[in-house]
Amino acid sequence: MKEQDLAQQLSDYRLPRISQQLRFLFIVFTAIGAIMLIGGFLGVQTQRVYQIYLVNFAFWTGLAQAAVAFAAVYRLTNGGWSDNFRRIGELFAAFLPVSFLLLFIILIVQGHIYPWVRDPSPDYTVWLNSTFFTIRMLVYFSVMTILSVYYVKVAVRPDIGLLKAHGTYNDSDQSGLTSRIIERLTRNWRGYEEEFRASQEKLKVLTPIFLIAYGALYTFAGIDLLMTLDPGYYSTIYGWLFVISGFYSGVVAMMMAGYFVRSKTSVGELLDKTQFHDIGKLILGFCMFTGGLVFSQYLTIWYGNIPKETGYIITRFHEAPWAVISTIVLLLAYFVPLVFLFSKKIKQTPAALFMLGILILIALWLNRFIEAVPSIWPEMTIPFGLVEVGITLGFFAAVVSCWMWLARIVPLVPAKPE
Amino acid sequence: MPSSYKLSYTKTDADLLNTLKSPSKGYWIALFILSIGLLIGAYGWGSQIYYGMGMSGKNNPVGWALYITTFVFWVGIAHSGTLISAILFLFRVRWRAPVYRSAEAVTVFALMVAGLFPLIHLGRPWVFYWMLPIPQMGEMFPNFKSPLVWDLFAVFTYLTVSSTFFILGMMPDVAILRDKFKGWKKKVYGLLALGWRGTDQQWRHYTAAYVFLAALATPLVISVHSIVSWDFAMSVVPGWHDTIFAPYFVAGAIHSGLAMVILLLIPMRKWFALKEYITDHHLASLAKLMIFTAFVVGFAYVIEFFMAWYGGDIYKRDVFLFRAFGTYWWSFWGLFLFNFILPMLFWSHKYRTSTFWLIFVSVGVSIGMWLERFVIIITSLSHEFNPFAWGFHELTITEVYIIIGSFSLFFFLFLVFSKILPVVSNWEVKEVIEPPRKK
Repeated sequence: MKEQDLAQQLSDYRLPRISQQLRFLFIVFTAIGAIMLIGGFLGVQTQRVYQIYLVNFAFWTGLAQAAVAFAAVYRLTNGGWSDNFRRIGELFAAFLPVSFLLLFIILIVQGHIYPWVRDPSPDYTVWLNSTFFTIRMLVYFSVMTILSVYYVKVAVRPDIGLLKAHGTYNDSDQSGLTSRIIERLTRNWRGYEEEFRASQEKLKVLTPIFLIAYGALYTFAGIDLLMTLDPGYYSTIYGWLFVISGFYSGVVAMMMAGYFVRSKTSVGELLDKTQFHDIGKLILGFCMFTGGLVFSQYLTIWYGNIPKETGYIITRFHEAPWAVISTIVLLLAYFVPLVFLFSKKIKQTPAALFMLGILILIALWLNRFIEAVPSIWPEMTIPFGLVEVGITLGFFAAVVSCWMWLARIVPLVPAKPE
Repeated sequence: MPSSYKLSYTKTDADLLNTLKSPSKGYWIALFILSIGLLIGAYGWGSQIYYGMGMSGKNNPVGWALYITTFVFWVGIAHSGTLISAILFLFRVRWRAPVYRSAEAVTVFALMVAGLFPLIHLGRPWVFYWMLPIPQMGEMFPNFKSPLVWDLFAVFTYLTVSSTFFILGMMPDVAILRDKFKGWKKKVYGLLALGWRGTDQQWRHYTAAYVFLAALATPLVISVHSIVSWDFAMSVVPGWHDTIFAPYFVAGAIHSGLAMVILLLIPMRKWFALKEYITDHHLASLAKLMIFTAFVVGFAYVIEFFMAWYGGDIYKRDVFLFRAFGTYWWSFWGLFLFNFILPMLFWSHKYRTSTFWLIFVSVGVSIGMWLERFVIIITSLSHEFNPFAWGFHELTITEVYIIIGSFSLFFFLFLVFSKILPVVSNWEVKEVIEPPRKK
């Protein structure tokens, strides 16, 4: 195919401008989230606002980062399974810089969230110390944000350059931030073939580094964000479980984003039944894997029955009010997908997978909720209401808007298979 | 990598028969040496049965010692077979075709060897069936809450499924042998070929069964070593009771299994002239997988230490300090060097395509993984809660004999297998090479 035609085809693979109503909805969601947060600052339901903010930060950042990492895994393993979802995963990197800014709110209000910041005790190791915690958080998330953004930049540069060189960006793309980003991304353009080769060379080195950093830093990020909420509790698998359950949510998010763009662009024909079938299998795999890890954590603690550990699971799995949520998580994240995804027909029906995806994401969000909230919420009720819904909607809108913004610039499927 | 092969269908059939030709002198010498090793092992076990468990280095507090270490080692080795044959099959990884048969043989033989160790570990091995849930005199019945009983079921299930997978995978190849040989060989291969004629209907059923078994075997890889890890993790012994044990053991098992597959493939491709089948690319792919497993186990070591410190439990902290700086310090630093640092050489293309370095690192990882189990079992038991009860394992020559015997048995079985059954899957290699057509 000639470059001109290739550019034309790629241009069709970009997400078109979304409808006015949808955009309005996202603005409203973001505004609700912001209002709740400001309310928290001003002293309205402060504890609830901050704790749900933490839950959402852990869930959405983990999801976006995992989707990018998953795309990198495809590249590293020359994976052929549902490979047309790869770029869709990479685009989640758009949320990461925003998430880095959102992190500062947690750092500022850490005294309201982490008990050991409020009452430092000589019993705690030096790990549980406000300054050290702040430094660590900044390291984890700055390193991962920079690496992810750079990684995606290298991966998409040839495509963006091709589009720009053939003038396929229209006027609405040429304004403001978007245009500046396109400009920066394509500086020193040397022609598509040359750029493609260079990008492949760079990615070869970058991909393993990125993935190793992700595995190592997110393991500890999970421990720091959520496990330290209960300073007496520790579990060696905790960090890995955080990463793997994040991966699970990332794969599901990629599938759902793929379903969303399917009808909106000509990418639809590339995201066919077989692609969904394969990503369905991957989701089933992660469902079983994550479930297996959850089980091995539970079993080890239950069997050992050491007071320091066992309290953690008794509170969450066996006592009111939290046991209800744990049961929902087990059902929706592990049992229901396990049963349904065995069916080939369901895996090949994108709409059915999408519905299942909604259930799984709700369950995985509740999973973060149940990991965090029982450690710090003092009352015997489940804190769930307008505040929680509002903040969650705000985060949801932020992630989706960032993704869509980038999907309008970057084609959803690369010009060349690698 | 279809294009990298310069093979034809006729040649693959001929090469398959070639591997089964009368063995060379070297083969007989190797077999002889291994037989001596086997005799040494048999002597060791025999004398232990005759004189009693005092012949082994086990004592109080170190009641689980080198036998269980070696048991876990062999179960671990058994994991790569199913990884390569089943998991890579499900993921449609094409480079597995020429290497998977040997990997499956490793699985089956390693499990057979591993299965002996719990028996060797028993004071009265002849009553081993007390572990099984069958009505017996004295109304003994196994305690299903015991991870040791789970282990028995896990290992037997794994052995059953992997043997079935192994035999099933060989059917079309064995049928070729049946057609080429005459006399008693024809009868034996005919029995193994299970009436294979290669009809459309048979292939249809065959491929369906193959996918099904692969899907069944995959969760088993995870479950078997998870359950082996729970033999330790279910207790409250510091250094054993860790939630990370299941995935950590599985990764370690695959790590050692990959090393063993490399160690067997390299001599095999040389002796049987299979260089065109098992190329440098295949070995390098295995080496790359080893980098990944090295990272997982290396990171698990770090997390274990971190949590021992973070958790603030004095017993746990003390055990981990003992591991790194106590009596057995060499085993801990050895395992870190062999399992994590050494495989890092494979980042370089030069090392992962060099026969010498592949062997060097694989031997290192095999030693390292044995040491890992040694560290977990022995350092924890010898340094439990009460300083008054501390004690050390004392190595005896009987244990050494039995371990030599186990290695001899494994390689003996593999050597015998390599001369009577096809070591490379002929039909799957045919699937990945260029089909014969007019140029």
